Amino acid sequence: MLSKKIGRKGNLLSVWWFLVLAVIGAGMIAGTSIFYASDIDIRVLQSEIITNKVVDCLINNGQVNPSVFSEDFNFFDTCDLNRNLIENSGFFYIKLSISGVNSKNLVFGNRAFEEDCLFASQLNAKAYPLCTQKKISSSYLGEKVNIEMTTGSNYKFVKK
Amino acid sequence: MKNFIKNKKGDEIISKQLIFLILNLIFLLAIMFFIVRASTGAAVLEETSAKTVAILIDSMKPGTEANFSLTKLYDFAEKNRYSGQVISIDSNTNTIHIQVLGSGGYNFQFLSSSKSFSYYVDKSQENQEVLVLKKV
Repeated sequence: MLSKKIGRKGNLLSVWWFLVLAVIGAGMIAGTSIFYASDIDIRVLQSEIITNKVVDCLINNGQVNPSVFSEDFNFFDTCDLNRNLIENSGFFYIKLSISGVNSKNLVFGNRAFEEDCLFASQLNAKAYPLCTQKKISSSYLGEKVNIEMTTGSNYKFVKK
Repeated sequence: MKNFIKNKKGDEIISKQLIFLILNLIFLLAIMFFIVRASTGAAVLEETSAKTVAILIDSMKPGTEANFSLTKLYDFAEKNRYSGQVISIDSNTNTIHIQVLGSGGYNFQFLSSSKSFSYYVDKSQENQEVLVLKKV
């Protein structure tokens, strides 16, 4: 009687067990493959790098660079940025507003990011760009100047 | 003592449990092997290296020099019998290309102007390849 009970309840090597293992294995393989196939997201880093580069080129020793306000100010050469990538790729956005004793507004890249950056800051939206906003107070000719910057990146990779 | 173990119902249960445990172990080892292979594969290595170099180029201040070890990339390429160029930087398109297998590779563009830096691969030390970046 005991042996019959063991035969019914103690069968460890049943077909159902193999099926469960197969399902678990398939799930783990699929999950791992999806995880490692996804992009490593460095968009926040990129937008911060753009912000830091622009701040470094605009401000020297706490003073705004005077060449910023000149008509022939070459933003990309001065700030060491690739014009073609930022303006034409559609993956980047830079908005710069200088106000105070002198003012200047510059916008480069994908203008649609202006609203997209707002959405991305309020929602968890993976397809939207990741943006950095910075407000800096500096001086120009002894007067206070406020600089507001918004930079965004939605750059993934370039297919071969 | 031998009669105590032989011809008992526990004899059958122990062998089934043993087989069950061994099969479970084989399954777990197979899954772990797959996960390790996936995490150290070419695709992940190429992507992380390309993005790291791009971030390095963009973060460097003028007048600075940075070294990035390519030994892992070259070792991987050698293990997979790839003798082509592992890393190349196209100054026209500002693109870093890293490849460790015969096909594929990973491209990534950096933000800085290509005129602002120079680079070369230092292979002077044995079994060590280093990418040297100099920001002008």
